[in-house]
Amino acid sequence: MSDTTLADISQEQFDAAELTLIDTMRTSYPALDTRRGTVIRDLLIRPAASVYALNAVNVETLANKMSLVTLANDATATADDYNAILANFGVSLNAGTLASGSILITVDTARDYEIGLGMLFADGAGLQYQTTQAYTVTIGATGADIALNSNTDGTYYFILPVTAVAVGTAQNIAQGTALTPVTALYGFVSAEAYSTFSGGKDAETIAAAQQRLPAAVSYRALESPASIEAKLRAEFESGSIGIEAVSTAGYGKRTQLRDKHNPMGFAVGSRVDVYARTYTTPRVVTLQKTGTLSGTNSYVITIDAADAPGFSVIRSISEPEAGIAPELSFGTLTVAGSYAFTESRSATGLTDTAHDIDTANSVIETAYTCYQQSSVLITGVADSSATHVFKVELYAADGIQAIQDYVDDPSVSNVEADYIVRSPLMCMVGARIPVYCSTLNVISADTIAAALVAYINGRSFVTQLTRSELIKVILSTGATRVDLSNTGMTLYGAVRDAAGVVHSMSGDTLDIERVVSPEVLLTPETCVFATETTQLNIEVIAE
Amino acid sequence: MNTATTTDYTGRQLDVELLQSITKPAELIPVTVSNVSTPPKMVAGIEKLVQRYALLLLTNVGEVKYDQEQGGDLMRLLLEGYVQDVGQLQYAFAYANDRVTRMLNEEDINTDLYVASSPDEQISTATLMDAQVDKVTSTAYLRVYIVSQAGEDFTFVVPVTRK
Repeated sequence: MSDTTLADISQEQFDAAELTLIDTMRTSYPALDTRRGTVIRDLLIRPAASVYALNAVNVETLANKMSLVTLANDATATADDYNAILANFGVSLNAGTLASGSILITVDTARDYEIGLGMLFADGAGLQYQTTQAYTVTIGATGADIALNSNTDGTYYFILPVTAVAVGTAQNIAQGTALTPVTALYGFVSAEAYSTFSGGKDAETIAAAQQRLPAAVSYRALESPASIEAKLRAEFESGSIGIEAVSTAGYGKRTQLRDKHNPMGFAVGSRVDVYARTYTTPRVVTLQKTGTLSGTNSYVITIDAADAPGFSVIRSISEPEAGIAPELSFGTLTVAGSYAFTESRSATGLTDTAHDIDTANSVIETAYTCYQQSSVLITGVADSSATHVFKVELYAADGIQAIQDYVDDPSVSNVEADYIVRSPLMCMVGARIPVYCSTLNVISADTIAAALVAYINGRSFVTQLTRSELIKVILSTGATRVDLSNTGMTLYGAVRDAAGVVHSMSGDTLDIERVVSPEVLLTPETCVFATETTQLNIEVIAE
Repeated sequence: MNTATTTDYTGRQLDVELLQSITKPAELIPVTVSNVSTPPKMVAGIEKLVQRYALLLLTNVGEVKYDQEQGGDLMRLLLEGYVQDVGQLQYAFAYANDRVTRMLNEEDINTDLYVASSPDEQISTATLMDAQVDKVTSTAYLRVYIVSQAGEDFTFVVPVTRK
């Protein structure tokens, strides 16, 4: 019901209503004098005009709420108003998702700490994070308890999982961001983000929801590319996982290897690989892994399939309490400061699945799926004890296991084809960009970076990323020009193929076709561009 | 000078009678709101003109929501004690009368919106003839002489009371 009352009617609205009534009365009741000063004008026309104006306002409000176009011009429109229209297409606005990560908390006393459900921590900008369950922190922790570890300076630390209080990408704070407990914590010394928080997504804009409409109204089934995408979006888009983009490799596609399991190597169809991008900003999963000594200063850890199903790349391996610089080395795709390591991926769980995987090519055919595991040899560790705990950061898309389970569900699965879900190959993008702006309108590097991050993370399953398209984004922030000389704007990209080879690119265009290798699943149809704020080196020059 | 005439009001635009029967008087009689037990009557012609004039004259500017310009300030000036003598009364009346007369004329010539009215429903002039004050009842009686465009005239008394 509208909240508009007679008191809200403006003079203009009343005048229009009054004129309409007088004109109507003149036509229908010409014998009644409606001029000013008449009783009929005061007692009949004026009250009726107020009600008529109120009805007109309510009708206009209702009409505006029945169209996405007019609703966009209504500043009072709520998410419920939009959802009322979007429901006609089986779509609703995604309310956004919460970022999650871990906090490294340093305390000065070795004792048991009881961390309650909903304990709040806040960063300097006021962004809040809370525990989603109660924890007991103790030395010698077992089960679900959190271990209290000792530092060399006499303090102690523990790693506490937390989730953001509010949705949004702003909550994806960088590793090392200082936090403080909102309520007192006994013995508190300091706290910082143990890893880069990820998973936070802004509430969906109406423009983004409108882009989903064609898929929403299309046929939903595991059959064609459009219907597969519609099916997955219908199932996951409103929840915490979210589907940003989908690409499929079926019969005849160059990266479809699984339908050639015959002596002649002919494609026979009935095999589909679904690449589902479920993140905008790359999602970082942080694990603590205990390595086994395998040589001088070397340890081996195993990243099980369940640790991070379908993970793309190991971002860093470091000491558990280390906070290292987040900038990627675009030659190896690991963070500068990470331990050197050699990774060997393999397949797992093949005997328990009906999916057609060639065991002779299982590394490639299970790449970036929930049947992938990895054994990692870490070198250069200044330790010789039998075991050593490491902090391992991975780029891992959310929901790969859930999507695989969904397409395997007997009530959903295609009875004629074998579907496997993969995380897309991720081409991490970095850039060095000298930007010029007017001294009268200085643009901050953070503003430009935010715009570029949003744009690059929206480029999925396309062939290339060019300087010219990024320049448009930069200029839209208010910058006046970009240095395109030989020492000016340069793009960097690195993508790991299914065999583990990292392909690096640089220049004015990152072109996947230049490094295409279908036999190791590296093509534009399997690859997405992604970046983080820390990978963009933007220099703003006011002139 | 009042003369008895018969006017044919067939086909005229009508209004509901607000003021007590406004037949052309042989003597001066006060004009008051109709008794509620009296069935409502319709008015036309000079009676309607007088009714419109009186209604607008007795309306203060800003009183009518969505028509803030309607009326004059005569009532407000009288009731708030700004009129201390006859000269000030005549000034206040003249200002209010000018506003009301102009308002009536604007409505009368707006034939795009309203049906054209006959000359005996259109005002020509209105003059304050006399004013009497009854201090016991705190009432001022204003005797107004109205002449229509058709030349008909009418004198009526408008009571203004603090009670």
